[in-house]
Amino acid sequence: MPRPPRAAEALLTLFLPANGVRESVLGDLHEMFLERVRGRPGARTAATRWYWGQALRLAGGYAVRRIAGNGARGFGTPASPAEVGRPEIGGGDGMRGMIRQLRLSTRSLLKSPGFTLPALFILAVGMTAGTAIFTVVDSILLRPLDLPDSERLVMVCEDHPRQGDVCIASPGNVEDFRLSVSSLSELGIVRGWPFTLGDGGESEGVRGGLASASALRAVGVTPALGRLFRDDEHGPSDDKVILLSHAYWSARFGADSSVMGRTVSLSGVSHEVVGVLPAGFDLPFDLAGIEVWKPPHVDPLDPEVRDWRGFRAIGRLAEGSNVAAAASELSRTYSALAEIHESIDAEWRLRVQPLLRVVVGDTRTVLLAFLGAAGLLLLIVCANVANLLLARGLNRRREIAVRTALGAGRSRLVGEILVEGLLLSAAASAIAVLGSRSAVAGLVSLAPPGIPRLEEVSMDVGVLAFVVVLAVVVTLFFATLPALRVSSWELSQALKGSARSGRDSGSRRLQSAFVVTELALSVMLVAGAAMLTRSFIEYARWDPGFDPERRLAVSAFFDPGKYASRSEFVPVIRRGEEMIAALPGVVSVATASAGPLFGGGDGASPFLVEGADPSGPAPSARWFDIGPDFFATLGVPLVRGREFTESDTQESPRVAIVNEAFARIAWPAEDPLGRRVRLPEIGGLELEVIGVAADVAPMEPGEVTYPEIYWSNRQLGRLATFYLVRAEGDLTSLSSEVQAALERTDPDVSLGTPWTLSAEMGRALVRPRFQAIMLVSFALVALVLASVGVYSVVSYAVANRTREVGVRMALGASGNEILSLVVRSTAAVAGLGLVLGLAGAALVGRLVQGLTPGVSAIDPISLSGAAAVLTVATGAAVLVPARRAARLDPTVAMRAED
Amino acid sequence: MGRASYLGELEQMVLWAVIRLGGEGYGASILEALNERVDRRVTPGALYATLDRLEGKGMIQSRLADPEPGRGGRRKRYMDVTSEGRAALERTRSEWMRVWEGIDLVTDAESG
Repeated sequence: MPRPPRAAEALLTLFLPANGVRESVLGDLHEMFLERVRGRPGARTAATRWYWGQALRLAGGYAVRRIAGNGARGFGTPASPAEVGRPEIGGGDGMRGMIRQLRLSTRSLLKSPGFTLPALFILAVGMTAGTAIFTVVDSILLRPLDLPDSERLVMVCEDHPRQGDVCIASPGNVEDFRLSVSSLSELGIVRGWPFTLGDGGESEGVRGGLASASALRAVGVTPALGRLFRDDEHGPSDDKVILLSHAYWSARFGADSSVMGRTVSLSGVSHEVVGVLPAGFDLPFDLAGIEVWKPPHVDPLDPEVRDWRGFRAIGRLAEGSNVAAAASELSRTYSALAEIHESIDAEWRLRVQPLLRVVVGDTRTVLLAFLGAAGLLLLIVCANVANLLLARGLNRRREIAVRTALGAGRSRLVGEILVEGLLLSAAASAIAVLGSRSAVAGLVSLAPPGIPRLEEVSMDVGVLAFVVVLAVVVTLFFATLPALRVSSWELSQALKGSARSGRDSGSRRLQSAFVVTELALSVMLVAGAAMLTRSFIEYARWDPGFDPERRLAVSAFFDPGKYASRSEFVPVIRRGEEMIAALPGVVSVATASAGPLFGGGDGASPFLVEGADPSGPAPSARWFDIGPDFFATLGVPLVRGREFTESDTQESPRVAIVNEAFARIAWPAEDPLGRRVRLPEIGGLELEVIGVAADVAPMEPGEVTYPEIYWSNRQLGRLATFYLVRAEGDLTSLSSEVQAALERTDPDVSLGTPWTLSAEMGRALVRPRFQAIMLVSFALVALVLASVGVYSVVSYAVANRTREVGVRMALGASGNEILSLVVRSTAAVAGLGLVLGLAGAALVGRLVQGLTPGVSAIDPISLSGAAAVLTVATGAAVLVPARRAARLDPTVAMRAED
Repeated sequence: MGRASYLGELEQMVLWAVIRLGGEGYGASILEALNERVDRRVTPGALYATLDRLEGKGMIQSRLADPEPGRGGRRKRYMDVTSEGRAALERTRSEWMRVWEGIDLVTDAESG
């Protein structure tokens, strides 16, 4: 004979009122189920499904009414025949009942602070930390960029093994792609390009940028006023046009729309304002905050600029295309281009990447590590809260058993426990909502300015909701679990067993499993934090070999329109040096195209030393152009030869200085002075080595010192240079004097904001410090949570064994024996947790290795440190309750109840 | 009489079915009677909630019968209407009749 699904019946049994209602409803449903099965072959499945549907609906309905109506009826009301069928809730009493139940539950929670406080603390702290981290990660990593359909935006990068991890492209190649590929609907180039902008009399330096018409179309911007660029305005066009950012238009032109069509002077050349970009429009990277845009002034198809890979290429995927398809189509086209153009050698590769991925870049690894840390933390919180709730549930078994025996329905008890769990998680959520707002603000204020999109971080309701739901679900699940486990057999056991410890081994194992999990996760988190901290210390230990104090640097860019040839601007660069040197307090001054802590860096080129086999693999070196006295000004010693001087001129032989790393590779056993080096990729340049400079240690721990070659900017200079000033006295006032001196040299020069090298060094450390602080705070929270968890579980366990302890002491056990008994019973569990945690930490170490240069993946110091810290924390958590047990008065202990 | 005298649509139908089944109605049979007579799907959940509510207002009373094998050995809970229940249904009916009369009058006035 068919019968309804037993599980559905069990569910109903749990939730229906424990009187005639339950029995009659089950009977009715049984009858209707049979009615549905009867006479129709194959109807069984449908009937089962129907039964489940009704059971779920009924169970849900009764559960809600039960919680709402509980208090109205008091508890433990016996199911007398007179009461059979009496409504569990009178309609109007629901609200009052709910309030009464809330009051009861609040009182019950307040009566046991030993449970309530740790549970509240763990939940609130875990949720706050989790929400804050999820918010930061979500804002930076997961939310799309603030551009239309930004997930369809890609960057096209030309990669070369010697170039490092940057995403750049040349105008010519991009233009060829734009004209020939179908997987991208638009593709264009952008880059920063400082200008001076003059409107009438005064001119000022502005953050300028070059953007092709197609790039602006690709990003999908619509102008607030006027129009964007046209394709024919690209290159050396007669129509000189510019676009203004909304912010610049408001600040400089007072948001006056009559600026449209106005002619302004851009680095000395007249340009017409044709449009204003919408408010809030911004591109990522160094392109953020650009105030004035103009089309690139180069003809993209000019063979001269084919190898000028100085642009970022932004494209939009065509309808129905994807990143992989675009990558394969562009790579094919690139190979075809390589056959025509010499500037694309066999090592150049093409890469297409989602824009968001490029923007987020390195930060991605960091953020994923933090996401992992936040996940670990939430797991620890869950294990902790589950543990506490289980312990409380087990302790309440006797109460539950007595009340059940007196006729309280199990569903009512479950309802009570649910309300208690809800109350607890609601209180914790309230704290977390308030706390996470300040925690997010705190994280953002700790963050270095270099973190992309930091300004977009804001509290996310969805993130908070996720954490709250997680907390509520975990709380409710583990709160009800022990109550559901009380079967009738266990009831009698629980009643009878009140004299004994009253704990079954299954629950004990479950609790031990939670302690093991918690400890293991904490070890992983603490070890990860220790690795990051060690790596940070490696960063902080960076010794460049020179003193960064009292050194000022400023970038200067001379307008290319003003100087027809090199011989014209070399004197300008030199005059700048002289003007600065004349300022009071200046000890020495020099120029360089790039350098340690300057930024910049021009690239690397293969080099051939005299006598080497030209067909063999050429080593490569980074190259720079510098002026006289550079090493003296920076403070890097010359180990051989001399610096450049003013006597190295256009007319004299081309000379070079190399660093020790270069010399070691090129002439391992010989004196480098007087040797000749050829750079085939830089126009076959040939240089004679006149000096060897000491190596500057790389800033990134674990990196090797790269070979470097310097030549004189008096012989091969360029219009962009850094001025490096070594000075005494107040650097703040000096920096504006330096700017003024350079502006006197050439009023049209574009200057960067001067900075001190020591400040730059501090800035370079901000990011590793931020990461270390974040993970260390995570680890601290984890440590506290784990200790609180272990402490509360052990105290509960000890409290439960109070009677046993009393008996043992009455039988002659000493305080120390009791102590070791308690410690022993925890030691095995804790040991297992530590071992598992160390194994996990070794795994984590491998995953986060990219974040911790200078520290090996399995770092013995971090691992043993984490193990030691948690052993101490666990030991303290065990010792306190153990000592309390050892000091118990046996006569009191023996009378103790569970 | 306030709230207690008010009968909702489903309450009227359930009372009607209980009266019709003459004290021999229980969950399944009441549901069957409703589904036969009324063109509306009434679920067990809605029925039990209504029965509980009516019993709470004292309009019906229930008694448990003997266990039966066709129901998994469970007892039926027979429902019978109380005098309050009858009075409430009667009152509701006459109130509605008056309402309908009123509408007839309005209709007459408009058409005439």
